[in-house]
Amino acid sequence: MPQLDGGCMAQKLFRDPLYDYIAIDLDKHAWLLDLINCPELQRLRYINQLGLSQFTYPGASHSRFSHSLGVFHVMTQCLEYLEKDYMNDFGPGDKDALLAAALLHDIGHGSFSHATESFFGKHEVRSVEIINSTESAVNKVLREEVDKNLPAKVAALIAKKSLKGFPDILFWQKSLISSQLDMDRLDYLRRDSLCSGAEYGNFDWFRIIHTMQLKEKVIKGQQKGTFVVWPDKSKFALEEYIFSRFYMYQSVYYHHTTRGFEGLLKKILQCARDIAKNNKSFTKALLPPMKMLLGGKEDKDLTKFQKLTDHILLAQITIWQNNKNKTLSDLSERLLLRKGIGWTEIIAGTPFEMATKMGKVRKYLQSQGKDHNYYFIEDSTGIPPYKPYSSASAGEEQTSVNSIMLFDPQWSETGFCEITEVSGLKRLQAITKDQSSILRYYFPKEHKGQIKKMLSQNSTSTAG
Amino acid sequence: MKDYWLAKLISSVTEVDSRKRLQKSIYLLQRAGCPLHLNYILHYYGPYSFELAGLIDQLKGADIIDESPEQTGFGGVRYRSKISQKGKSVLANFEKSETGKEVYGQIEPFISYFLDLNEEDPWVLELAATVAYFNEGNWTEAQKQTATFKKLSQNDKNLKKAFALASA
Repeated sequence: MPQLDGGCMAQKLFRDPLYDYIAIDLDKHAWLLDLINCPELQRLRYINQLGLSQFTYPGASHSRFSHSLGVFHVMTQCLEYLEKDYMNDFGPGDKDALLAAALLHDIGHGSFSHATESFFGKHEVRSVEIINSTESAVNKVLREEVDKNLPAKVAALIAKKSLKGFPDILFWQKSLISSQLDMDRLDYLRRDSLCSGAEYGNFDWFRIIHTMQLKEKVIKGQQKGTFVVWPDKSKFALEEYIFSRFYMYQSVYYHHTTRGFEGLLKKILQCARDIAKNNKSFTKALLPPMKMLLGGKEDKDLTKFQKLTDHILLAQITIWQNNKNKTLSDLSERLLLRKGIGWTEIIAGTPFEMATKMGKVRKYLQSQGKDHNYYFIEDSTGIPPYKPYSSASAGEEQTSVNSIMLFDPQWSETGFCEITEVSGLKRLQAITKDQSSILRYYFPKEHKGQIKKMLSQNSTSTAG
Repeated sequence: MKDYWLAKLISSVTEVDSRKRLQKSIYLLQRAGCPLHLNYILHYYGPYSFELAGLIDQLKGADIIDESPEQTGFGGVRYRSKISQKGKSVLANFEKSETGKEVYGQIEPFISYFLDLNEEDPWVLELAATVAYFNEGNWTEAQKQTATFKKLSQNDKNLKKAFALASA
């Protein structure tokens, strides 16, 4: 909480279910409130944080807007703490850029968040486009109220792709925005847990923030960099975080019902896009923001994107329920009524092993008058955006972006240690190493018996 | 068929001595036209793909590849990977199918390049992938950016080797 200062301090307070209050100090940062009031950020009120998770957890209908404010709050706390000990690690304007990036990191999400990314573009890319566009309101606030170079700096912090042209963005700053333990995850895990009612997502976030350190690591004299690390005394808070992330992934993000209906949503969009290719009247009848589906020039139209929200997509699908195309209307109805999907899963498999069996299923569906392109959905654990922490993934390229690191000057060589290697935490390896992957298949429920049989027959016979 | 292509590449060598090598080799392969199309970011050690890291986990989880961890002596772990017995037979079976034959044809032209990269010095490989990452049509510029990024002199011997490897 900001300090009261002679009674003249003004602050804006938001009520929040996780932090009680989120405060903005208007004397120091009046521009932040202007940023929040920009249409690009207000739009996130109409985007569900968890896509179609509400089909599984009725309470999980919170918005990206509340999450963005939450990330901002956590970032504020984190920077206040870091400034005390690491003032010299901040350049001029770094703090403003980090606060703005916390608020803006999700403005590029399309309808139902990740569920439609393959159609409306990767959200980080879109966020960066909006922040960089001189046409956008957020760009104007950053540029005119703070600093003309701020939009580019915020964009570089959020951009996944590259640091080109911005070599001065520091890795430790990027890892506060996007890494294995960033401000984004600190908020969404606890928020999604609270709202879904799946209560495994809680952990001691306050301790994680308030024991963070910045340390320089020199590797074989080739390169050195400053990374975010934690001291040994924080290891249990970090362990708890990794377990919550694992539980939330298992029970919420990768829930079979949610993944199935999100898969169906994608098939509806794929089917509509295919119809639009050679049907002018269908294209003409699309709700204007839905024209983004056609790609090309439409895809670059940020004013259309501004209007592309959850309810526009739902309205469109409601209209498609009566479309002449039987497949499109049937799929739309299954989604809106939340019915008619069957599924099965194969544990510890990889898609190409299944190729032959899948070929048979596709043939079967065709013979039943159901186009396999739209009625058969493959889903693999490798794909979802939310993943449990995996220590092996980083391999020997560990940094604070792709792994969680602890530091103790007494530890060998550099003093850095990846969390699952820290003594006393070996039990973490059970959930962070060798995560067997799961393949799921969805199809019309009425064909469940047949298809399940086709997919499971001698599923390991190829193992020889 | 990304999972198949990756498994196929790993099966074409005795072993890949680190995940880092795999990350950088695959990046160079992609820049040479190999159809894996994995998303890469510019990481501290050069181009890095979370998607590839995920694929490796998946192949390992399905027992297609074996990985053995090894402490590197400075707080890290190095993973050596090779195709498993099960992996060999799954690949052989798959390649008998029509789809299998077709996707094998798409990776086949890149196998010999992968063999070469697998023998390359790891530091040169890392630099080469980084130069390739920065290259958007202007190699001199890419070399300059790599030197800045890796804090090297532009006349560094290894950087020159890396440039030769990346632009070959």
